[in-house]
Amino acid sequence: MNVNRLRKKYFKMYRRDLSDEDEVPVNSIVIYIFGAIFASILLAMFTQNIIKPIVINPFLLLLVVFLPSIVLIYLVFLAIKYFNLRIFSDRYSFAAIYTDLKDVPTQTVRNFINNKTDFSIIPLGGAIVRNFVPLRGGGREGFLVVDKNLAMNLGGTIFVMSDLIVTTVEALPTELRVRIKNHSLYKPYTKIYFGALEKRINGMSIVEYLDMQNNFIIRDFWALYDAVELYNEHLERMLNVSDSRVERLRSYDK
Amino acid sequence: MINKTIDIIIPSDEDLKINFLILLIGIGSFLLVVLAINDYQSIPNVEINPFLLISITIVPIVMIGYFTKIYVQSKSIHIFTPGGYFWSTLMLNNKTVLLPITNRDSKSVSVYYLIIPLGGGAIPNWLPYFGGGKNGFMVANKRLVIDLGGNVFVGGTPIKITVNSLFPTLRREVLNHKLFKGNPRKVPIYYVDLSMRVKDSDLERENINNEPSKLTTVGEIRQRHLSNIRYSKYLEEEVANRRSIERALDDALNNRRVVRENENNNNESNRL
Repeated sequence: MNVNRLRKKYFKMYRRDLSDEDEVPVNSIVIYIFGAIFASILLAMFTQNIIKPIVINPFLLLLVVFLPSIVLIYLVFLAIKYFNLRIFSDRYSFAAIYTDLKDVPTQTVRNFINNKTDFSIIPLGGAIVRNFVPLRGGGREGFLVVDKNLAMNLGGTIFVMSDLIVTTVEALPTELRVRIKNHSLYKPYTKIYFGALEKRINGMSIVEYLDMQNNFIIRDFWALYDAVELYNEHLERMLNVSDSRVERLRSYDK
Repeated sequence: MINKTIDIIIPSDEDLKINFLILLIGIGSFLLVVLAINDYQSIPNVEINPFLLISITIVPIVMIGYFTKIYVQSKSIHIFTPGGYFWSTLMLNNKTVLLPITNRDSKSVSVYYLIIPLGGGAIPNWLPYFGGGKNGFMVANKRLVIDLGGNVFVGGTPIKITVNSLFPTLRREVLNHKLFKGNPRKVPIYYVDLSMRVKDSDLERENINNEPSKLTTVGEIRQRHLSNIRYSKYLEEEVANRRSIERALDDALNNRRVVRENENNNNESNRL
């Protein structure tokens, strides 16, 4: 009878399910690269007397060794920036060292009807990798100047809820222009991403839109919750029916 | 004067920008090639083990390929959520799943879920890098997915689960997705069912299963929901298990019945 075999199969399956929880994630590409380097060096050591060495022009050797290395360093720099994307807007994403709006310097600007607006000034570029050499260079990709009320902390990243305009520092209001020009990371001809207009979705701001959807989402959640519970009740009934059938068949079997 | 103002506000995005690093690499490689061509007779050649040459040339090139992939991802569309999560995506091969549900009050609710493959990327006017689904899948209530006209914002904190912890219909749809590869127990699923604006008090329900609810926080309720789904997966497997036992027992009884009938027939024929 295959009953015990089936039981063993399911038991194994559930055990595997549990054991997956504590696995240490290892990037396979890193393993392959270091494996390949190690294997090539071993092969080079063991075959230096057997295989004839290649004769190559020293400049050509420099070309094939140093150039990929320089490109590699540049790409690693870009990759570090990618893992440090901190600021997202409608179309743009920027690496920055700021993860919280509270740490960002602000500048108050008065408009022509004397209303005050606080603008956050964030130098773009640069990155910090945990337990690694920090990559400086904030401000290299310009500055983000955004109305403080239009930026939202997402817990590690900042969401700019504004349509950004790419401009130059000269086009900014005087207070902002002076503040950015005096910034330690300011470089001439730098780009400014300026956000003062709120992004609208179906005529609503993003927060209003999410609030409007709230009741529907809660309704959907409870519907799904109930559906799962009802399905479980149905499955439990089926299981009871199956159990009683198995019992009956076993009694016939005896 | 007007022209000057326009020049200031709209910087020339179309200008040809020269990256200094690329310029240096180009000049460097040109010089090295010229030197190699001119001096190949006067400067003695170097001898090198072929495997050593492989380790110092091919391996960095493989690494360059990997980091170029990351670079393409960085320039691609991003999908981001509260909690500091973000992924590159192509926003292609998305699936909308309709869940027609009849709840306990016999009211029908249509819930739309969106399945978005994560990973992959493309830079406009450049080589596309496909491979969506390599970083897992986002399964989110469609109402929470906001297309900002480039990037995509999902307005709820995701829970990282596996496909086994998904609602049965969603599980089937994710498993049948053409970009779903690999071990279902390892492919990460980022599940978003509630908005970041939902507070504990919003989820209050007087009765769950005709009993006063003991669940108070959003986290507890979501946890309970997911454990219910996992329980349903367990029950499905148990039912399948019992049915196989039932069938095996049924077959065994039938075989015995046939043997007995044959024996009876033989006995009767012997008697005759």
